[in-house]
Amino acid sequence: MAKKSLEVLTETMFYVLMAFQRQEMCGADIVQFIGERTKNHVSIGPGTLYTILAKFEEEKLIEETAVEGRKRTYRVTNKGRELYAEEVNRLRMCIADAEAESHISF
Amino acid sequence: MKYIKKLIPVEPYEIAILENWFSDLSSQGLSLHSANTIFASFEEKEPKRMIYRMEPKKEGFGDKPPQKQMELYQEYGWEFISIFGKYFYIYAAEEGTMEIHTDPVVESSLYKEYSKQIDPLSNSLFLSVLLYVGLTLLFLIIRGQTNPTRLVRFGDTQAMILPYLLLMSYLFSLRPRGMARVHKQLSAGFRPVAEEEPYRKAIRKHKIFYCLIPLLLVFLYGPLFLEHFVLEYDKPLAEIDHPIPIIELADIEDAPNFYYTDKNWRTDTPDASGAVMFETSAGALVQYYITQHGVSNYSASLSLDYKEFMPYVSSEKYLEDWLDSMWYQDENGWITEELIETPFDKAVLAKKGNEQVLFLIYDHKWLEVNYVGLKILAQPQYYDMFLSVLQQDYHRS
Repeated sequence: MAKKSLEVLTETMFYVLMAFQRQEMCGADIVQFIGERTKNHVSIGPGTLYTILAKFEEEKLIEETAVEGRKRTYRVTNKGRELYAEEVNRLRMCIADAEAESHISF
Repeated sequence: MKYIKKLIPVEPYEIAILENWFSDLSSQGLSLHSANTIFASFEEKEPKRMIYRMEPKKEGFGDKPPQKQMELYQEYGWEFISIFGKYFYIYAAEEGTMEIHTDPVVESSLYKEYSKQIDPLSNSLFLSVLLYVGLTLLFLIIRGQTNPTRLVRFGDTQAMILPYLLLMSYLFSLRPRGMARVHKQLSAGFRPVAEEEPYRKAIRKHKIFYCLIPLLLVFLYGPLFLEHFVLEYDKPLAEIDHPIPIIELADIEDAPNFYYTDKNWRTDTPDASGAVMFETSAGALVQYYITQHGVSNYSASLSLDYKEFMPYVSSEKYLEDWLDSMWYQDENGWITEELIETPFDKAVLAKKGNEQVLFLIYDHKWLEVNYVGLKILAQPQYYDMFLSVLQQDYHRS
């Protein structure tokens, strides 16, 4: 399973994978998406972005679809969608556990 | 353009210190141009403080990162400056530029291949040195058991290089271990941070470290190998003024009817008083070769080979190998027999015409008596003399 070889999705990795769920994206699109989605709460540097994209590509979670000059576009694979869904479920369960424990609603 | 070279003050894995060092120098007008792990070259420019970041070079990458990576970094304001040894790429940007890496855990994955090189057991210096010493001794034991002759006769190379091997193994283990430490810190979510101008302190530490380790090795191993480095000699017998394992056969000068024919390696100098050679090796730290001749070419001759074996050398195996060597085989006319009822652990006599070679093992020591003459060596009257020689120690350090 991809998740085993990645060990864990960090917050940044999770948001990068989230960015691909609706459409194909290039690096600049991903940065913009994460900035807007998190209201700049999560930022992503070029080294982090490059490493994550390389890792995701290696793990076949995304694949390159187009290269136009310096712009490279990627799309999520089925494996990537599955991993994202798994991670969302895991996070949901964490929130549910936290709510049950504290008797408050977040 | 003027370039200035400076010694890299710390090990490459001290990334925070080095990044700060480069930044501080840029604010003094020295802009990093290139670097290897020993020297960094700086170009003199207008003082302007830049920020520097080091990123591990992935296996298979060349002197520059891939073009698409450099272009992406450039979009964010980071310029590739230089490769740093075989470990890192160095980038520079103006102050205020977004960090190259914003997720330490993701950054840690770049160090993973270095941490894989680290054996879990070698996480501490002590364990790694201990492991090395253990393996070296094991190697010596195996060599001692399988081919003691080689180890005893030619083992000086191992003796000489052992301290250096230890030092090198320690130094070579430092960098991967340091990289693994960075990997561990990043994996835990923290990027190493250097305090203000820490490199001055680090430089001192670095210098002390590189001076102390060789000194420590000299103290640890020096005495053991001192004899090899300092005391080996080849001197006339008359010049020796310290105890040596010499025996005195009163009759070696008194064999008027003995005609010397076989030993073609013997000195032709009629008045030769003999020679003493002291040697050492990894298999036997104390070794004496002593030749004693009669007063003329026609006198009897006597030479001794005395050795104190290291504990890992099997003396019996050494004897076995030595007897198997070309000089003492039946086809060469030698007759060998094991002598019984002697005070030695083992005694073997090899005989060929007027030549006798007595091989004696006692208390992990070796005495080989080569005699060309008319007397019979394998007699109880001589055993006491040989035994008293073997019962003494001749360490000189």
